[in-house]
Amino acid sequence: MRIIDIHAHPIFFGSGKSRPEVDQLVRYSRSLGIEKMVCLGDVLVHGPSPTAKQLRSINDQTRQLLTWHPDFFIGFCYLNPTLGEKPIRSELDRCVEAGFRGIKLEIANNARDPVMRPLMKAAEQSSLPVLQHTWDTLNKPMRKTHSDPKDTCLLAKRFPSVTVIMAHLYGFGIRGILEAQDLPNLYIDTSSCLPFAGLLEYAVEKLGPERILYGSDIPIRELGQCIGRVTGADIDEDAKKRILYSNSNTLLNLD
Amino acid sequence: MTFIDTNVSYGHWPFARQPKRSVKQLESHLQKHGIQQALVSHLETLFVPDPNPTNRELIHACKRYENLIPVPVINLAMPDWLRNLEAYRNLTNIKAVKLYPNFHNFSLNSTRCRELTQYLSESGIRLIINIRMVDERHQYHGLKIKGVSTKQLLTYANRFPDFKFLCTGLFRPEILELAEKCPNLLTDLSFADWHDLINGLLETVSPDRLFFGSHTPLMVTKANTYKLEVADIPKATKRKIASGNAKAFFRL
Repeated sequence: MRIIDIHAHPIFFGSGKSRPEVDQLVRYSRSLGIEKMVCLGDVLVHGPSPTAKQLRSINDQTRQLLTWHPDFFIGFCYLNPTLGEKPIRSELDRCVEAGFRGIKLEIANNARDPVMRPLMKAAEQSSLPVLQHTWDTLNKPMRKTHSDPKDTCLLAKRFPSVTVIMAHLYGFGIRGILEAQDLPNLYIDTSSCLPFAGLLEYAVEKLGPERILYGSDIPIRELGQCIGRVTGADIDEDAKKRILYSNSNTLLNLD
Repeated sequence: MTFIDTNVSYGHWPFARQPKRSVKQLESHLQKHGIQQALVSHLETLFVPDPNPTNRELIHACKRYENLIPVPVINLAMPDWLRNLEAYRNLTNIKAVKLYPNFHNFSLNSTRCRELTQYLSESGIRLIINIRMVDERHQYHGLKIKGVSTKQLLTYANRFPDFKFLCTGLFRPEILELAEKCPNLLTDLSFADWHDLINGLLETVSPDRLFFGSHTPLMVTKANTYKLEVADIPKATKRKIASGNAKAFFRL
């Protein structure tokens, strides 16, 4: 089965950046049918709110992977919305020039914060999707910086012309699926957590298969387990193909 | 590839929309995924104080399906656990019993657990300790049960160093924390996760201590079979984890 992985961290806390390690990951991934892998960067290596200089260093590592395996890796530009418009624009322009195809946001701030506006405007102008880390954080202090599905869905509502990818289906769960209804510019990815049964089926039932993207969140997860949770789900074969490959292929304009 | 599954439940988990399967359907489902034999416990035993009627129901139901090996759940907080266990042995050839300490509110370091361990040592019946059923971060707010602590497991393992037991539901960091301190602790891999997981574990844990467990029906069965099928490890090691270790340990 053909696969595009929309959510991967090939380099994680500094590990996995040597050429042999990267080559090995590519070889192994391809043996499982993974044709493309989106690199989101080593997002937490400098803590939750990296400086402009630290962002450049993380995105340079992603660019190195793209240079080594241009047919396999796709880069997303990691940004920190709290840095303000100028540094965001500058780093995004640099990454777009290097061929990056999306924006990755982690836990520098909550997706509903006003600081998101310049970044979302830049995403809109560049026609780039924004992948936002999302977790069930309702009524938890961590919500200040960890976006709850309510927050990420609000972001998608506020910026209907920007494609928002709400990361971590298995982290935001049933409530997140329900929040994501009626938001045509919002996609969800299947990354992270353990493969609990019934959730993907529920997402397909409520959202349809068109807005669901396969993601692994490696190295935190095992690729086989992440693929198996989709291929082993009680959904039809066409939905599996869409989730594993064709939805991301269309979204990222890969043909 | 064929598997012996050390972590299967029968029945309905009430906090998620999961397939409701009869015993026959469960057997077919497991066979479809290459699982030739499975050690099965009944989910209802977690939610009632006395698991005895439900254990009997499962033992009776599994008699028609030789690939499903019933594993009675023992609630050591109840006074008649030993009488029940002996009764199960009269009904069938019991290979193992299972404990859910944090669902049934007893300690692995209680007097009754010492008595059970002694009984199992003498009878050759194996012990499975369930650590958790779900990731605690995503528990339904109406039922929040912590996993069994590594501290409790360490004390238990060291108290009975010659008694091997299997844990189901340990996270990868917990396995790594306990591996060297508890050489008698065996583990399934259902909750263990990381890129190139098994090679990473094998740096600390010998392959004969790793067991396949799918945690069906709470987890997607295929996710755990495929995880092992495509693991980048020698075939012989893969076979041991998939079935060989369980076959030897449970004398199947």
